[in-house]
This record gives sequence, structure tokens and C-alpha cells, in this order.
Amino acid sequence: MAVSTDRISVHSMADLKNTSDDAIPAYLNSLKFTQSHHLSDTRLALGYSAFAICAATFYWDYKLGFESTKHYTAVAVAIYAILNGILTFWIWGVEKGKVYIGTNKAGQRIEISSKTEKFTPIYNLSVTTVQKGGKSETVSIKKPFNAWFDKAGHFVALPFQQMLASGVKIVGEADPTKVVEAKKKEKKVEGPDKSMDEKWASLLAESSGVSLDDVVASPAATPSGRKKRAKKA
Amino acid sequence: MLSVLQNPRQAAAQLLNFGLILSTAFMMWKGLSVIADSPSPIVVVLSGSMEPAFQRGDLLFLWNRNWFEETKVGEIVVYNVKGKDIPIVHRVVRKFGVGDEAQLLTKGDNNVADDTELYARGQDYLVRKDIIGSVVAYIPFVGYVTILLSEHPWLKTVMLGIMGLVVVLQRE
Repeated sequence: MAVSTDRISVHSMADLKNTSDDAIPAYLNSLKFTQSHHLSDTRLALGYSAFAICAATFYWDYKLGFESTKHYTAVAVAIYAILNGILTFWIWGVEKGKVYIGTNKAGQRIEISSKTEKFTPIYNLSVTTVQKGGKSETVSIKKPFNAWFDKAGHFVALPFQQMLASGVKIVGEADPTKVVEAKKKEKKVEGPDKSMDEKWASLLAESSGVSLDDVVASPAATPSGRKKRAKKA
Repeated sequence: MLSVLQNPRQAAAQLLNFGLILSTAFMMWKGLSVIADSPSPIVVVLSGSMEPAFQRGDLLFLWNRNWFEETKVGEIVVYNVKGKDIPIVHRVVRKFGVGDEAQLLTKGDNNVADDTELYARGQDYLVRKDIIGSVVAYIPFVGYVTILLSEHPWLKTVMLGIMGLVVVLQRE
């Protein structure tokens, strides 16, 4: 299925990001990566234990009243606060926006985290590949969402998968047909035949320090163009 | 619906987000209760019997611990009468004895008579454990929403409708 039948609103950053995030496990799992769920499972376990404590508190408070249960309630409130604290730490300090962790048959591990900035429709991926010996390498990929969402808001899988296959070596090895040569750049001609949308996209890309033609980004690229622009303004 | 079946983790995570919002609100309320040692640490004034100190709709914060001194004459307290479930906010005007057994008489500042009429049948005074807290702080008027909601039940329907619309129209 090249184009998904579901439509999202192209003006909603949350929709753009969530749909793209969901496409990563779907693609990589289809390439025989084995997904590891331990991050989200831990988060769910923490959250549901906290919720269970709250439910118990609600029940005994409702059944037995405040006076006779207040010492248990105090303990429950403390445990709830601690669990919620650990949960917050887990989300901000450990998960850090990771949307996929998986290993392939050769034992290489891949960890992908995604990020977007408010009002900037650019998808920032940080992909860490850990070799079997423990040697790790991180590449970052930046691409505007309109590379794989059409105007109506349909997700188009091919360019998205090409981005991952070309940007990440072990994905490219698993799916060589999707690798697009990074250096095959044509100089685009700025002309009147360019549509308004294309101009818009290139303007946006330029202001965020990304080239539209650049499928593969350099490791840990810093958006220096952005800073300059900010200073001028 | 299909996507829920396909990805149970994501469904569980979404359900959890909703559950955590509710449970955090409830646990904060319970935390406040435990700290103030009161089953209901925040109440809304329902009558004008304490005017000009408090008006209908004022939000009161209660403290129910006697760390430094006993509840004394002149304090504004909230008490429950046996058999009635609406707490009453009035001032302590008489006190006989000391400790938990002290006999307390209350009266609304704006009322002509004291509260003996309001107490339960056969009850002539309050004791400390009838009181659920002394007023330590208040915010004028913000509790009026709850009065409106309880006096005009159709407003609840309107509010639920608006909230439902927001949920339907706005995801995430």
C-alpha cells in the first residue's frame, strides 16, 4: 500500500508527527527488525500502577469515609507522587522521544527518536545504530513533512521509506531498493513554472537550515542559518 | 477501532493519559485533604448568612489542625450537622470547657439568632469533631459557577455538550 487511505490535517503538527512516528515501526518491522517495547512497557506499568493506587484510594474513601482512612490516604498520596515522579523522569530522561528500538538478525540495534519544533513543519530524526561490539553511531535526518504527505493529507510511504533507507546504513542494507543516491542532486531552476507550494516549501526549508534535495543529512548538523536570521530580525 | 486492535500499546497509552489527568486531580485533592486534615479542605459559601464577611460563591480554604491553639471564640468554622450533608460556615460565639469535649455555639454574622435551630434534634451545641475546618483564606466569587450549576441543572447539560464538542473537534 503506497498511499494510506486515512487522511490527516496537514495543518496539525501533532497529526503529522504521530502519523510519521507510527510509520517507522511499521516499515522497520517489515524489514525483519525485532522491535523492543521495554521503554513503553515500563511507562505503561508505572502509569497503570499509579492509576491503580488512585482507584483504590477512591474506593476506600468512598466506602469508609475520610476519618478512618486518612493515614492510608496519606501513604497512597505519597506513593502516587513518587510513581508520577518516576514516570516523568522516565518520559523526559530515558525515553527522550524515542519512537523505535529494534534489532536486526545480525544483532545490530537501532534507536530512533523524533522531534518537531513548534510552527516548523520539519521532521527531525536522530538515529543511533549500535553494532554488536557496542560501537555506536548517531546520524540525524531532517526533512520537511511535505516530502511524504500529499496536499490532501495522505501519507505516502515510498519517499518516507527512501529517507530512512538512504539515511541509515543498516536500513539501507536491509532494503537496498529504497536507497536513493545522496549525491544525485540536480540544480533546480528557479522559474515561473514553479508552483506556489514548491516555493513555499523551499522557503521553509531554507529558513530551517535544510535543503529540500538533501535526503541524507550530515551527522549532528547544527542549524546555523536559523541563528543568523534570528539575529537580523 | 481497527487501529486499537492493531496497536494495543498505543491504545493503552492513550487511555492512560486520560486516566492520569483524572487521577492526578483526585490525588491532589486528597493530598490537600490529608495536609489540612479535613475531608473537604475547599468549600463554597452557599448562603448569605455570613455577610458582610463572605458572600454567596466565595471559595473558602479550611485548616483542621490545632497545632498551636484550640479552636476559639471568634473563629469562622465549617461544621457538619448529623443527618444533613450540607456543611455550614458560621462563627464560633460561645465556648464552654477545653479540649475535645468543649461545647461550642455558632452563629451566622448576618443571622438574628444563634444556630441552635440548625443543629440536629436534641443537639444544643457542637463539639470539636463536628467541625471540618477553620477558614484560613478565601477567594471571592470564583465558586459561583458551582452554585449556578447546582441551581440551574440545564447548564450542566450545556457544559457537557460543549466539552463533548471540543473533544470531538480537537484530537490530541
